[in-house]
Amino acid sequence: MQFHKVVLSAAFLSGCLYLALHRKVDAQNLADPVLDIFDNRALKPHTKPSTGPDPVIVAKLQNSVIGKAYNAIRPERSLLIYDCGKGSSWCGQPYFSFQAIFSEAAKLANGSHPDPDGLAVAWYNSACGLDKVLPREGAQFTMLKDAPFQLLAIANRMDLANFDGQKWTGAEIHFVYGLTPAPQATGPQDLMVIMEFELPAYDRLGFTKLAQAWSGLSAVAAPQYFSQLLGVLQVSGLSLGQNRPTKAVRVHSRLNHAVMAGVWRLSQLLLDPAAPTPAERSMFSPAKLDDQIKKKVQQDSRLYLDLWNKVEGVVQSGVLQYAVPDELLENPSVSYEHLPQSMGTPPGVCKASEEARNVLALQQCTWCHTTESHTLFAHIPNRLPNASSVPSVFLAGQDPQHGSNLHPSLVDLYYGEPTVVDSNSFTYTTYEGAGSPCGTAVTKQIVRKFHDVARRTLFLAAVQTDTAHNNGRPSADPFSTSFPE
Amino acid sequence: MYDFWFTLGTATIKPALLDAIQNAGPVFDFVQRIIVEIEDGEQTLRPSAPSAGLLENTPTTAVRAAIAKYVGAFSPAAPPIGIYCAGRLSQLMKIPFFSSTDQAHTSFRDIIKLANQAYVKGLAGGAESKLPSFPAFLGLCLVDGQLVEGFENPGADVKQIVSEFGISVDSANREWQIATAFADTDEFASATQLLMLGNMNPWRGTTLEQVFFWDGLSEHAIP
Repeated sequence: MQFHKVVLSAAFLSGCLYLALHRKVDAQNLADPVLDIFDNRALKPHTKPSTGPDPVIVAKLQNSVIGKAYNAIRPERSLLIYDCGKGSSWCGQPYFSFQAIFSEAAKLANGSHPDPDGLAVAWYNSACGLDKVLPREGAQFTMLKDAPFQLLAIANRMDLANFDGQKWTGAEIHFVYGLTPAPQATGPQDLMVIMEFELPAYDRLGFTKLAQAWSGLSAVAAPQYFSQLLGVLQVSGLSLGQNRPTKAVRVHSRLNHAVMAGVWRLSQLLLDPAAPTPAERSMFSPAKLDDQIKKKVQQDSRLYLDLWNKVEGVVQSGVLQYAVPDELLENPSVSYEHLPQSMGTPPGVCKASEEARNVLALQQCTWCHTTESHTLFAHIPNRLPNASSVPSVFLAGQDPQHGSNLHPSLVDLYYGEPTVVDSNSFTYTTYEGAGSPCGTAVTKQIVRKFHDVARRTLFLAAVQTDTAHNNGRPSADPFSTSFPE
Repeated sequence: MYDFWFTLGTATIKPALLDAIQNAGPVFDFVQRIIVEIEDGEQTLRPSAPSAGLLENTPTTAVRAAIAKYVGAFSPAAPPIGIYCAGRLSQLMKIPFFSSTDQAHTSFRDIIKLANQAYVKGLAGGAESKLPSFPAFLGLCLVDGQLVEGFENPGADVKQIVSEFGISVDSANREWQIATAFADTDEFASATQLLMLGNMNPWRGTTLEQVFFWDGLSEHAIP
């Protein structure tokens, strides 16, 4: 993944990011327990006393500066905006349509002579090159205005940014689309496209102001919401209808598609003005899947064993991500299914690190969209017209149909209340046995808890309240990630 | 279920089976079926298949007999045909199109035509299989994407299921050669996508016909 290469190079040079990714925190001595809620993308386990929540913890959560900012944020207005049902004031606006977003991408491809139609048609053809079932879906078009895609959500992904000591790099805005259902359809087709715009780097103060702008959307009255949302997107760097260049630096397109019974295909294209070849700078080109290990690397192979040992070393040093070497990265398109067990550890490794497994599994698209996160392939599934998408439990917590736990209390998050957050119990195969090699397979069951919208909300809250602009690490560090969905 | 797989596979090899079914006069009266599940007091409206419907005794029985006659003539190893299989085939034959966005080319006949083209490509001019269970295996491939997905790097579960059909995961095994080549064609991909995922297919809310559990559908399979 190019982004990781850049980031990790910077880390080795400056050591700044290395510190950023070390998230081991001594919870007992922590002044602000909000900083101890998440461990990477999962909720840290905290045992709730039989008498109820620890009053000391509750008081600290209530008094937390980040916590207070968190409480004031409405995620459905500032983080994951997906109310596209009847009466939505923003979802049907042409500024956010598939057509408008390709116009934005066209400015990135050719600032002086943007060609949205040509770019979009070429994008579709490239996607068909990766997904041979796609031409059967009725998604084809010859003019962008006829492209049959409907908006599902806009996602503020500032949490994808990392701070390198000087700047926040890698924040994104995602526009999620689904194939527009045919008039007779009783259910939406399982075909979604995410257009992921990477924003320019921000200095620390600028990033705080951007977070405040997004956070401010939570307080906007309904009649003004659409115009304010458009304004914040423009402040973020997108032109969206304005006669000016886009400030986005690159855009990924990720297509997630049910291609057989119980089998999905994930395909990625990239438009990157900094790419080495002219074609890649002006068109969407196939791009290897970020952080995904090639399917052909068998879990009992020497190659996987070597990779595993490196992952364990990195994770044991406290770095909670592993940049998969380019030669082991999955091709731009991969099919995957929901397997009964999640990713295992390699045979021959005794007492394999569960933390390393967790990191490596969740960072891979095919596990994050299935077993690892309690998800059936799509975190933001397609919808029927006049309905809203129903986000995954991983994103929105329990009861995502009603969004009743989209903004959980800090106490529920801290204790990982299973009626509120995604409590995912699954098994994986690991190995034990006396002597070497360790070859006796055993099934291990673990429970991991998630609430990714809450994590993103805490990130936003931590950035917006960041006042130490000249020294120290940002308190948002524990809530950032590099892994998109 | 084996009879359904066998019928589907036989149609893949000999599409004329569909003529026999058509001549038997299948009837399928489309209705809107609404299913509400109540679990722990919580009501959930299940997604309904757009092609649910009702059968009639005489024509469905005639379809059963026609299928039994055809597959019996095709193979001495053909299984007895149940009324469920006849009903499902009646439904598949009467669905006018499996994709509303391409109504002219997505009937069940079109799907079987694609499957047959894939089969012919899979043979690659070589010998056909004489394995009695092979038609059923082909039929299963059409409805179980997870099985086919496992062909590339077969795990123990795939090997086990394949072996239940008397096939070994071995590049020298003729049945394995045909099946993997069959499943690797564009025509197969199109056929299975239309059959199981087309927006007018019968499998939107539940599935009964697979060997692997299909998360999201199979948990609702038993009425």
